[in-house]
Amino acid sequence: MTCSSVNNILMKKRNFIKIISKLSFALCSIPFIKSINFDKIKKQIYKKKFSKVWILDINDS
Amino acid sequence: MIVDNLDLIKNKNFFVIIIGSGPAGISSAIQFEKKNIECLIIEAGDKESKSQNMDYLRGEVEGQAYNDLENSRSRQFGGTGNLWGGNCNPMNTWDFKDWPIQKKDLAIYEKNAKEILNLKNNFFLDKYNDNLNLYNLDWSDVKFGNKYYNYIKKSKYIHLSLNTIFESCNGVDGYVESINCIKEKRYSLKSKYFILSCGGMENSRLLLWSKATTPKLFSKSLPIGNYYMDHPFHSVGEGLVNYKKLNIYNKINNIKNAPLITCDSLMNLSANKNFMLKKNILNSGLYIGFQDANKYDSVFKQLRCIAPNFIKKIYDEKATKDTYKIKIDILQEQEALYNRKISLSEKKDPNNMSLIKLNWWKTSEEKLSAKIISEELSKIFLKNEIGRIGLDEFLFNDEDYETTVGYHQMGGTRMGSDHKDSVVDKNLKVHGFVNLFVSGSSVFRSSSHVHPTYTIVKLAIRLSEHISKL
Repeated sequence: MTCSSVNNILMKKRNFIKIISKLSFALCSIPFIKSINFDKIKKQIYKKKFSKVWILDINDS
Repeated sequence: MIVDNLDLIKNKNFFVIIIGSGPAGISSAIQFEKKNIECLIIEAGDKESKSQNMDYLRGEVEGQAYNDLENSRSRQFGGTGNLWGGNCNPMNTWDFKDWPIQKKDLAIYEKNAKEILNLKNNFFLDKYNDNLNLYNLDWSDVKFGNKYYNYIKKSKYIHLSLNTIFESCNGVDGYVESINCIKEKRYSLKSKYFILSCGGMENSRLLLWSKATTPKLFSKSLPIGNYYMDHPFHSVGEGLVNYKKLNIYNKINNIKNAPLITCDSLMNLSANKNFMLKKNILNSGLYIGFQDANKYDSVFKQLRCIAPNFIKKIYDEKATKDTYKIKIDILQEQEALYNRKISLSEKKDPNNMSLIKLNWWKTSEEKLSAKIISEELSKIFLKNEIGRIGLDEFLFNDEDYETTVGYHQMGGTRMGSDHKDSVVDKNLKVHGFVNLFVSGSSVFRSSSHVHPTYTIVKLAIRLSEHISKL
């Protein structure tokens, strides 16, 4: 086994560990994403009623 | 002491004569007294308001609808300091950006101003979110006429002459030798310094009148009466909010001075500096009032039609008791515009002096500013499931809208370093004059959205400090 091929294997191992660690962080974060960003993804709509323009969530009606 | 007969003091050479006995005039006099400096206050009205004095306060209004001029002012001892609502709050640092003085220049007079106004609480300005600030008002119970009449009556240093009408100045090239006034007969009163402190409108009228009657006194052309401002006050909307959720939002966002919301609470929000710059808007103070709601309220009815799921959620969560109706009003900043101004009318008062002609209007920038700030509040409540807000339709179209004003008359003799765009310098001395000063909200260079009296009192104390050192 040449020196360069040993280096290649080590590089692949390091990359694999990096990917796994990122994936595990992302998977662990999923339950929190909803609570953290829930507010931000509301879709607001403007609806007129009588002399008022109401600022509502799209799911309000 | 009260001066009933001007003959007794007509030959006395006072250090300073103060024309007008409103919050500015009285605050200056109190400060002179602390330094054992004798001053004379002349007041055109009596101790109490008299109906015949209304004839001096009438005037013409051009442009858009404005409060009746005679009902916006008061010709009596204490001036409008007898009629005001008592609300006080300080101007913010950035409100002084075009002024020749800064907020810190007035900060040293806060303690004295609070004593004069009987203010007990501290003022705060907290970040509410990225765009809005939470602020508070303090309430003064002081009616200037009631509180300070006996005080002045007992004073050795403050002389007060009621029913004494300022008529004109005598002098040349910026040096006022004496003033002419009428108290049953004509008098000429001498003093080293003169302070004009007759209120936001009357200061401009009397200075314009002095210029018209004594032109040789005015060495410079000054924009007297120009850059007039008030605070348009109107409703912007209403809504339903869950007050418990709002209290939680305030707590988790660490809003230190947030009021605990209950029924009849009031919460005040304004735009922060960055939001104003980003959106290119004028500032406004939002007044959010909380009231008990019931299912028969029109707010409930409207939302039942257009947001049934929101109403259903309130019932599902058994949160009807936690749901308050809110009413949102706004007190708005006006930009200082050259042509929004006070000038002399051709109509005359009973003393044959010209009455006021006011040219006043609202701008589309003011309406846009109200819309953007109100929308920001609506979005906070929507995003955080606190509630829903309906804004008044006029904010979204070109239609005119009804408004009153805050009875906060500002500008007309504004402060500045250049006589081409201002009337008084940073020490409130009229440009080109040696010994004539103006005090009151007429010297404001910007209006902000804050109630002006607290700033008026601080400026008046500062003026006395300045004159006493001359």
